[in-house]
Amino acid sequence: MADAKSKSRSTSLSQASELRLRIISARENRTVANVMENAVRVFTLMPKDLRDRLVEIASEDKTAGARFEELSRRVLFELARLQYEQASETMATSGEVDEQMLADDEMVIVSSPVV
Amino acid sequence: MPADKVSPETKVFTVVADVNELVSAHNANRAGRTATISQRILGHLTSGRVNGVSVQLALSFKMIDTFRGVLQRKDYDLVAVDAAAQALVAIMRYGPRRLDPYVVFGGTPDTSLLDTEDGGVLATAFAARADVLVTDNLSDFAAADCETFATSVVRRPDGTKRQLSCQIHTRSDGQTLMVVHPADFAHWIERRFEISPASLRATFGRGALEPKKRG
Repeated sequence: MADAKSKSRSTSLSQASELRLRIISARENRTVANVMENAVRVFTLMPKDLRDRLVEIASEDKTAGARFEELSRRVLFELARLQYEQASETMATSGEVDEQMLADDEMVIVSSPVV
Repeated sequence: MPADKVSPETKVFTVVADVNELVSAHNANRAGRTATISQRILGHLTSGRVNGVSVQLALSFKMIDTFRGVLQRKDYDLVAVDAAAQALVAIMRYGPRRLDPYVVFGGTPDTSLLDTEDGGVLATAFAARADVLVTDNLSDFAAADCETFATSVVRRPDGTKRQLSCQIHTRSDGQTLMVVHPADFAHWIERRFEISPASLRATFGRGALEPKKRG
């Protein structure tokens, strides 16, 4: 059983990290220990290059929040794009083809000032 | 107002794609095509960047509901249609301007247009502060006071030809919206043509068309 093999570890946190930890814990109605366990679990699953880069970003106190927010947005955008692609692949196996719509979709520009 | 969180100096190109374009792309997928106009446009809009500029897709929930309804009526896989609709919302929400359709959209349809649904799409585009509305039905958006320019000539698979046009709508507060045919939009992006009101006026100004008269 995983519980039987679990280990307790201790570390010291900066004031800022401690504050963020308590905010997450309170907002998400989770224990501090649970949030810490999640953080370690996710971090230790990441490749070293990514961990190093994230730690580097986190070390810049003034910009870290905004940069992580933008990184998160890009990751979530990419996941949404993949979800759309996967749904599109499934949809391509069902449904009726509208030939008129297809013809309009296959028009070719034969004259344009933009070349 | 859009729930912008992006810094003002970061240029974001915001595009509203008419529901017909979204449906056309799935129609083309179903037909086994890989590079139709709508497929190319969807590829650009969901890539996050176009010609070095961040791109933001903008849709209203009404448009997403229409997208879902049309595809369901055409017997597409219901679970996949729902997943695609949810993914479109997420693509908007995690785009560079983080547009949230629950927060951003609403407003009343533009009453200068005869078709209420088209008026709603135009209202959505203005509410999202979109740069471009991409639609095959330009004539439906031809308000009396918009600028209209002849752009390209296209040939359909049956050999018939059609003159395309684009429009520039300018509101009293100065906000502008370009309404562009999908074939032009894909063509311009792929040739790195600057899609801006000034560029359209400079390039197509000599082909300015008379405003459409409404009976």
